[in-house]
Amino acid sequence: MAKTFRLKGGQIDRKTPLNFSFNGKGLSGFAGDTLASALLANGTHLVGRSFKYHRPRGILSAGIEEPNALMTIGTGANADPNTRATVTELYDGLMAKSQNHIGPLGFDLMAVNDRLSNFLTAGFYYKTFMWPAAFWEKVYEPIIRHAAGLGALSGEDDPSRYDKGYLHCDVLVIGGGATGLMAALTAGRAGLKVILADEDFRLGGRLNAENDVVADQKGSDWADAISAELNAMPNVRVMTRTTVYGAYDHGIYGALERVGEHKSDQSGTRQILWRVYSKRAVLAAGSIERPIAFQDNDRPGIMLAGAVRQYANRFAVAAGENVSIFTNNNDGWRTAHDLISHGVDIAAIIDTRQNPLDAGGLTAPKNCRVITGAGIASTTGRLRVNSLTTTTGETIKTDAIAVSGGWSPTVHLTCHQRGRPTWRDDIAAFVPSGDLPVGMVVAGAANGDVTLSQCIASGHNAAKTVVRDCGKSVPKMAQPKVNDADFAPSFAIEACWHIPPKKGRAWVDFQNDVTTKDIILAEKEGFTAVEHLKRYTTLGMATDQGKTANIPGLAVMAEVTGKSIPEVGTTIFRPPYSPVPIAAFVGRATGKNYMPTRLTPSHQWAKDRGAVFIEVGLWYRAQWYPEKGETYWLESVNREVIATRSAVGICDVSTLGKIDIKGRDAGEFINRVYANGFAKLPVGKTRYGLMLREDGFVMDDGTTARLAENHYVMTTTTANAVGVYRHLDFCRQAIWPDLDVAIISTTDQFAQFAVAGPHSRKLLSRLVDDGFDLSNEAFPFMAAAELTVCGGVPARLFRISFSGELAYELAVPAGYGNSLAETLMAAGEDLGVTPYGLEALNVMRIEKGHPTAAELTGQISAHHLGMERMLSKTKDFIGATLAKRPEMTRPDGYRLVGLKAIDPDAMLTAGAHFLDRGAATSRENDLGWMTSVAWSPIVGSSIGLGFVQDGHNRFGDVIRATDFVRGTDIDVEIVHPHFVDPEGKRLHD
Amino acid sequence: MTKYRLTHDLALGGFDAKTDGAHLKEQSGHAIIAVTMTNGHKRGFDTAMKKLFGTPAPEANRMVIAGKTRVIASALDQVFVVEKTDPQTLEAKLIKGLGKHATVTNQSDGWVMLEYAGHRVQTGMERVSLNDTSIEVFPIGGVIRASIEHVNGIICREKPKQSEVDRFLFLTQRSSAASFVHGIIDTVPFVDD
Repeated sequence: MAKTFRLKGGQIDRKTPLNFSFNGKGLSGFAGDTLASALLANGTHLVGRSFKYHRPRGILSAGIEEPNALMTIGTGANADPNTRATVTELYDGLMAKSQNHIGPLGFDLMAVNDRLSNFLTAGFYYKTFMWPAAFWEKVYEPIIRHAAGLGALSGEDDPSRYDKGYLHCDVLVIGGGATGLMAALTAGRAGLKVILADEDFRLGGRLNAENDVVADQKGSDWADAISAELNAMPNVRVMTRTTVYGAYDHGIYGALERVGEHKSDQSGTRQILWRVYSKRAVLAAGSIERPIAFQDNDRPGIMLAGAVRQYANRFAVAAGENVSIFTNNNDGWRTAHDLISHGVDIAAIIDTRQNPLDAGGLTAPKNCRVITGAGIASTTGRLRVNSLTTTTGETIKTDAIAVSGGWSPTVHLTCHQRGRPTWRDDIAAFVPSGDLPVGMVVAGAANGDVTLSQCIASGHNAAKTVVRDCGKSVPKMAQPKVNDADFAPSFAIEACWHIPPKKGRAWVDFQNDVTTKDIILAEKEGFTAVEHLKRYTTLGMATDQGKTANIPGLAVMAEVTGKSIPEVGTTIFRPPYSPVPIAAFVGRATGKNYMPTRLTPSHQWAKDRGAVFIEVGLWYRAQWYPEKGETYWLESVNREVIATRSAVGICDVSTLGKIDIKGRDAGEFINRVYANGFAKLPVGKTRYGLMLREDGFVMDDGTTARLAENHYVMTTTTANAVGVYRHLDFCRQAIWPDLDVAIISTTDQFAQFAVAGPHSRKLLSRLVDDGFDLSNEAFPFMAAAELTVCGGVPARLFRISFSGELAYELAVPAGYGNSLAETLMAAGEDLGVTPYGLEALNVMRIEKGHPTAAELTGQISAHHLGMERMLSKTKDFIGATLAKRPEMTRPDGYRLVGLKAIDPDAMLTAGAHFLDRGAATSRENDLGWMTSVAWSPIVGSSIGLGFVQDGHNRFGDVIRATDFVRGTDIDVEIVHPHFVDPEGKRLHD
Repeated sequence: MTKYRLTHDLALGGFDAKTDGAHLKEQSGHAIIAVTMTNGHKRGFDTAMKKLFGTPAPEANRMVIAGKTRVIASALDQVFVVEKTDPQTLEAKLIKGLGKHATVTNQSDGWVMLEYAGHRVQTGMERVSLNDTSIEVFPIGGVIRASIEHVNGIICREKPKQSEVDRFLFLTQRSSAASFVHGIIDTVPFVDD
């Protein structure tokens, strides 16, 4: 039977045993264990390999700061790499695998790197692999990338579900230790809406790790009692397994809740990414213990002293049978006392301070060897530490070393909005400065408080501030009595950051294999600035972001540069505080949720008919309607164009923006926003309008119909529907608030169909109700009316044409969209009616020379479009002044023209640039560019629209359309942009 | 006389999804009429509204129920009047009753109306709504313009029936209503954590 390191007591549920595996080996633990505590209970210290040198690594800590014990949890598509075993809650069936080794964990072939360490110092890849130059990308980099790294993604789709959500509270308490519990309790009793978030699955923080007595009971029991009270309060939301990872503007915090990771059945939601809106926040995130660097301090079995204590007290696990303590402060001694109380032998306490017992507040455990004024010079034991040698030359057998280099307040969230922490000599650590995120109060160990009584008082006081800020009364409540005299008033730290190794290396950053030597090298090479140090050595990078390494690293740099630590400074902490899976950020935004879609009112009909759809913004529009036997899209499009021009076609144009404009001053309003005159537009008429921006460039075009005295309906291009509406609303509210105008989007209210072609009137006459005269005389080109169709359905009818044919646009309430399409098809069967899609619509508008979004790019003037005569000279309008700028109006400037390929088999391309024949292909010779192209079945060749310098004076000239991207160079003739019916006769028939 | 007749479709085909604690259902047969008060006509507008519905228009972001009619104030000087009736009838009634004090626009087909009710819907709302829809911040009769999964909508809180605990009324644009609904049913309480 395997040896167990399980002790008595602890906060595990021994009635609930759990089976799990590590590297395929079956092991067992209990509910309440983390993966790390269960591994230690099974005597497993070797859990991984280091990043660069592939050194054997063991568990260092008991929390989020863990740099070594990174595992892949799960298998196949569910595999989750780089998961910290120290915060992974054990569940039945958990499968863990170590990372970053070739061959067995105990015999990693890549460990050869350790032998080559002299060649692999900091920044080695900046200095080597320089030649031959071509080898970097093809040989060196792939090899380095393959060798480096931690865990690997499965390469399969992640089957887990990730969610997101939004929470609102008066106060967000970050951290559920003694400070956070006290803050939440005070705020909760005051009636504030409180969210208490803690990354652990059990509230209490260090209360669970220590043997403190609070309110005459065990600290962990007190935490349970407070937790129960908070859970019972309707105004308090307790969120365990939740890491607040970022502090953003205006009291917004990001939090990741792990709701499913700890369950054997992982079919439910795995994580929820919360956006928390808070009025105030209390940061009670505690502090993180630091190691001391000494030679070979990275061996498995060398751990942080506070973690060793936590494993013993909370998880009932001994880190070893014969543990040594190495410390520079009082807190390390506490570990010795606690381990002894659990029956664990202490090999020695080695304290760097000369006379720690003289200051009082400390007692040496009985029968325990104490060595003061000394450090650890070296250690032995490849896969598990087995001895240490002190700087006084004494070698001590030991199977675990608990190291305490002092505690660093967890200041990360205080820095997310550029706050810089300040140094406190008495605790040898950075604490939050006054430059905090708005609304944040910092309390407890995160603020540099070092005793439990200070933390509890601090939590209470922080909550009192918040309660008053939120306009509530502070509840009367007594603070619990705490006995922390043994280690008061502080840790009495005497900073000792590293013991210089005689030979070998002393690790500062375990995760990135950064040693004191690397930092000294960085200084020698001039990388002394803290941000340079980080990037040159990789100190503080990767998943732990230097939680245990940053301060020791800065201290070494301070030492070699002769500066103080605050003079060296800190790097900037940015969100996230701890890694957040990309999947959690994505949340539900996959599949149908990736992007919302807008469907036209006849979408179902088009779908049933086999239409091929295209995304136009968020809209799904029918691109063409293939018919049996058609094998190529152009066949369908040509058929639709020919059918429309020779008989009748129908097309859903509901995506065009539709804006109802009403009120006494509606006409005046429209007259001011359009460049051309609208003041005299009669009721029952439609007019084409050109809208400019203030800078004089064209914003949009469209038609506006006057349906009644004070009622107009404006149509916009699909692309600019929202922009034009916003523009109108701005004009209405900000520029001319005195005008009596109401605008409302009716884009979604109506299904609008273009009915185009010589038989369009005949087709529509079969739908309109009695009494409406569709004749050319009664309803001529550009007429508009409200009427009823198909037995009383209210409708709007406009005689406008985008195709250049005799055409109408018929609008009915959107709910009739599918039915209208079916009815038009049924009613026009004998007329040869054909549905046409966006592609045919585009072909016909190019044949007719109508601009659309491809031409109206925001950099085009009315002159460029050849529409300068539309700029009214008799009224003011938006853009009137700046549209007169010389460059926009120059006579030889760009003009919209038609382009026709000389070779009828050549296919023009949009984006091609124009050059004179024989001219060099240089920027200076650029004449303009092609905006739209189409194969015209009517013209019988590829045609296009484009802007050509002085284009209106160059009709008949042959120039080149050169497309550098597609590699084409085609001769084209400059022609009038109206390829079909240039006189507009068909429109008026 | 034309022989052709058009049939009217609900945007979501009568969507109806029910789970333990939540019921999301597309509403049918409602007239939804947008009413915008004429500048400077507040007194006349309120009087006319009171005459029509027995109550003046509510303040912005509030809703009143007057008999069969919901009056939803989605913005300053702008309300939606919603009633289970023929849109043309209600539109005509409003045009006549409000006269020069307001402009009236039929939006019955532009909006989709959904009811979302049950004892777990608040949990669901936390996952989709940026706005705080808890009862203490957003009481019965509250109205907010909101974005759900990047789709705009109007959320109203109504009085819950029997064991529902919470009841919301959604208005969302017809063309993107399918995405709006999918955004809701793709999370709790339709999908358990």
